[in-house]
Amino acid sequence: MSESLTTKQTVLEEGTEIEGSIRSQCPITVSGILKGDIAAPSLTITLSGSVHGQVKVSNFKSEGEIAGEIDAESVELSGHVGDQTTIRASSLQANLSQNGSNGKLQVTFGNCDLHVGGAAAKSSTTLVKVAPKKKSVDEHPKIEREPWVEPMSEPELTPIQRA
Amino acid sequence: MISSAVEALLERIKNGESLERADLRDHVLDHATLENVRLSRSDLEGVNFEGADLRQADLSCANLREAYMPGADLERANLQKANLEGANLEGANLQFADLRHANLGGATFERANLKGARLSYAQIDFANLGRAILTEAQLDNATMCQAYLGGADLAKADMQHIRMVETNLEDSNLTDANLTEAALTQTLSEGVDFTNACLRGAAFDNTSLANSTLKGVDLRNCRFLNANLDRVILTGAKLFGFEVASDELGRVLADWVDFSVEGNDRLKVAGTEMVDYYLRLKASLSAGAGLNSVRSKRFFGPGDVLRGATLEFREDCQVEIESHLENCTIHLAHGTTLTIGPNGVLEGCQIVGGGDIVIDGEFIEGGASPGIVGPRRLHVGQTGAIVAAVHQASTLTEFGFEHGCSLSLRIRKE
Repeated sequence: MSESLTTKQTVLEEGTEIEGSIRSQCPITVSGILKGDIAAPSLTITLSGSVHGQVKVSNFKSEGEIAGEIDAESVELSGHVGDQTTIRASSLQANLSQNGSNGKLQVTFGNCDLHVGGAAAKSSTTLVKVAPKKKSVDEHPKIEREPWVEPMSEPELTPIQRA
Repeated sequence: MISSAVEALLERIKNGESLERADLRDHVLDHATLENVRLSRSDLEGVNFEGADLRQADLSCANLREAYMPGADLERANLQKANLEGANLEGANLQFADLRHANLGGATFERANLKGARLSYAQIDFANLGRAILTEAQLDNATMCQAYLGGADLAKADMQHIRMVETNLEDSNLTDANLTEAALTQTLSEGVDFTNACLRGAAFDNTSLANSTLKGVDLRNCRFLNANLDRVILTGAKLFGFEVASDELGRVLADWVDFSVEGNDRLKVAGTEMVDYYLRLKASLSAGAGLNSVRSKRFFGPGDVLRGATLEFREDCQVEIESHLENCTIHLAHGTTLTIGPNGVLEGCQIVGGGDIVIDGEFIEGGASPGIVGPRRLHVGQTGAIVAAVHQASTLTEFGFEHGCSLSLRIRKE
């Protein structure tokens, strides 16, 4: 039986600047500036936070500034995505502003590349759609779909932790 | 008889110990008292939680595939991003449970109580929710393709932007539900009670609504292409911008309907005059002689193929494409919205100009690159896919991406 009894997380507070890599088994929150690579189960960058480097996490959420290479299962974006950034993810979410053209943009992009879901595999062959038959109440369909995507495995390294 | 391993486990839980990331696959914990237990990210595949007390349990990101949980009490449990694929929750209590972004594919919730449950962005495809209680549930942006909801109670449910394809809603209760901009395609919605529901901007293409009640329903800008409206009750419905075949409209039952833009019952039309009024209004709108507040609309229907064309759309125009466009150039003026619907495909095309672009279908760049130049807004919906380079507007393009969309996007700025 494997388990972790901790809810600890690694926090880089506002006003702190680090150059170097971090690998952690705990979620990481960055409110300061980090220039370097990150490997962790999840990374949250707050409004004041900034990360430049390679990021490998399961869940990635940014409200601050990011640049570099991001590999994640799930990405939630706001804030700014800098030049020369590549984001690879299974799913990505970014919201439009609520007030239309008068509202501040939720997320701004420099020159960057996004690779999310299976877009690359999409082609005109997907256009042939066969109208399925209507099913009755008693003919509830059997399950036949994509397998559940397991969360990314986590690095087995000594964490830098702060409660 | 309870095994010593299970006994030890229950003792640890009783002592308030966290079991995050625990491996409890195929454990038998039926009727166990597990209130407030912390099992976040645990592997619980095939676990037996029949009749277990899991109130306010933290099961977020847990793997509960094929879990056996009939009659379990999961009131206010946290199941965010949990995988419940193929799980059995028949008759379970999930009131106010948090199931946002959860995978409920093929799960059984028959007669379960999901009152007030939060299911935003959940994948509920192929699930059985027959006679389930979903009153006041949050189902916005969820997908429920080929799910069964026969006899379910969805009164006051928030179902904005929900996506249903081939879903069975027979005899369900959707009174006061919010289905704004929902997409219900090929659903079986016969005998459904939609009284006072909001269906603004929703699409009910190829759907059968025979014998359903739509009294007082807000159907403004709603689309019913190839829908069956036989003996549908429409009394008091708000029909401005409603799209339907006139012969289908002739088969509905209505004492009166409202055609006012605001939907405030100020333009009541008797049921006997409804079809004529609808046809006159539609003709006047398409001739540009209608109400000034209406944006002119262009619709390219499914099945059509357009190749090598250059299309220019003026200001304040609303363009919807459900067709297949190849190697076309589209110019969008400011204030124009181009929507590529779920069936729409633009292949090898280029879109130029400062309009808004919504992609619920596919945009695949071909010859000309960047495929999209200078849009004010680019929004890719959960069913949308885009393979293209985007050259942003000088003021920066506003981007929106919904969970579930597919992107292969190169974003460039000046």
